[in-house]
Amino acid sequence: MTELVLTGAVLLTLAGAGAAWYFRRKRDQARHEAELLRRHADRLTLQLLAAEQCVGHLTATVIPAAVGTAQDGDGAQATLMVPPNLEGTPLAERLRTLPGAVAAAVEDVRARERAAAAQSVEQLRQDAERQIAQARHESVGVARAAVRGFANNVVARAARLGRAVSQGVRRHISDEAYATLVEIDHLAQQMLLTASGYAVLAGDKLSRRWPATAMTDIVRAAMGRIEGYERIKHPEMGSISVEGRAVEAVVHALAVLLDNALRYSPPAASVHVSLEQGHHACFLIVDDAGLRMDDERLLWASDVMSGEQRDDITRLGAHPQTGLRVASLLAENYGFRVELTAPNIYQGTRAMIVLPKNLLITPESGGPAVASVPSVPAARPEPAAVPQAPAAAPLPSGAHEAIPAAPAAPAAHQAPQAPPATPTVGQTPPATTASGLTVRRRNPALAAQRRTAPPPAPAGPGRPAIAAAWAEGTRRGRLDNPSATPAEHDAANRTTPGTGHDAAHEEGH
Amino acid sequence: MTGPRRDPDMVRPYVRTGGKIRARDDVRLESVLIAASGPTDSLGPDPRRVMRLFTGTVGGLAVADIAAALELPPSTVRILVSSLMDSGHLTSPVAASDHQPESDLLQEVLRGLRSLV
Repeated sequence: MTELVLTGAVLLTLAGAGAAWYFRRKRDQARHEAELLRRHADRLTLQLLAAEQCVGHLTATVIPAAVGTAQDGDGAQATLMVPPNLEGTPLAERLRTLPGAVAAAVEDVRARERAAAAQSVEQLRQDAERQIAQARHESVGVARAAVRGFANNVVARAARLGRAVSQGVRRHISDEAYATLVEIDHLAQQMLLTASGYAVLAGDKLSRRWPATAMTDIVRAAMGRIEGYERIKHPEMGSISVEGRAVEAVVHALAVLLDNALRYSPPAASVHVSLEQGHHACFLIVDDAGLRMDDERLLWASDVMSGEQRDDITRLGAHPQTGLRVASLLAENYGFRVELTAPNIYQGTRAMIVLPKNLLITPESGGPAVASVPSVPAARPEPAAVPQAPAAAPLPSGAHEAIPAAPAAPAAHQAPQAPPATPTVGQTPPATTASGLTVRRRNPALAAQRRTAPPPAPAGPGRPAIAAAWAEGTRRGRLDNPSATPAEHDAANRTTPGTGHDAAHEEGH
Repeated sequence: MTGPRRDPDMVRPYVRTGGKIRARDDVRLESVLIAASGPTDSLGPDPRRVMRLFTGTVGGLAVADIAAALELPPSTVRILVSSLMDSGHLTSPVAASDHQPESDLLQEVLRGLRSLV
């Protein structure tokens, strides 16, 4: 029993010792692990702190720096200093890539912003441009309409004033009345030139129409529209004429060039006009002895004359510039050219109007002959002889249209052998006597005109009024002279009511 | 009523007269003129037209005749004629009246002639 007890006790002791050893060992092991865990926790804590500091550093300096770099666009990336106790961790790697990623993202955002901004700016610019163009277009239209209305009004009235003066200088024969009328006329003609210029700039055609006109009269018509025409010298220019449709345009353009030449030359110097005939064109040349246009001004002038904006009514300069614009517009519209060169033989400026053959009537081209100086046959001392003279000359001059011949034109076509007793008034052919002399008919229209005319002022012998009445009588006599020549008939057709549209246009504004 | 549709004077009267607006006092519409011989090359277009009217004319032409023939305003022609008289191209026979013999002398001649018959 004792043995059993002893054995039991030993076994227990052994077991206790074993257990004790076991537990001791277990405890040591647990303590060791705890130590390890504590160290690990410490390291992690340190790493966490370091990471916090690093992220703090990242937000405070590195990312702004990266953003700044992206903003400056110089590509130098800000580097992140990774604390040594994070070395080798994935966190360190990630943190290292962070500034670059931030910079790239910022760059990307900025690029998108820039693109969007540029697009919206472009959009705005286009909108603004469209609106400007529209406003401009509208303002040009409005200005054009206003200028056109105004200019046409002035042109119509000044033209009427001119016609009234033409009548007046024929009606009044006193020196004082003549001097006053002529002065008024000169001003009215200048007004007409300026106003028609603005009408042209506003897009209108010239409203006044003339028959084909000899070159000399073209020059003299242009001279009448400017100030200082006495300084202009020109020779007689032969038998070349300008077609009726281009007459007013050429006269206007020439007047502008003459005005320029007079303006830019000394007050005492002459301006010379000459005509050169080329094979395909004629050259009306205006030479001044003034200041030579320098190259800059010539360039400016050619810009003005060829510029696309020359008909823009809202971009007009001072008067000479306006004139040149008008001249170049007219040249384009009517098919001739205007050129400026310097220096000329007088060390001044030469202006030239180049008239192509299709605007000209030369005597050999078979057009209606327009004589500058009529070939008036020998006039006899008898007063009756004088009125016959213009009837023999087709047109007294280019300036004188064939209005006097117009009433005779219908009769000219009828056979002269028709019975003289034909009752049709106004269509009766001229009756002749047995010896071939024309029997003068009473013209009812003229008779009515005489009846409605104011009674003539009582005139004593030798009074000028008598001579004027005489001249008027002889003129009337020629009005119903039936021996119209074919040339006269042509000219009459141009002035008969069939083509009255042109003249009516003149009145229409 | 606006008068004629087209202005009869494309070339204005003051251009035709070269800017002169006064005629000589002794040139009137009824004044009769005769041409003196001489070159007309230096003349302007209108004076030459006036002078051409005189070629072949036996007697003289009145200013009103010239105005009617050329369809120019009478005052313009008076000025043109005045210039032509100043330059010696035209003369007025009436101007010679200053030098006509006295009527007493004519009476004397008449009486002498009658006594002869």
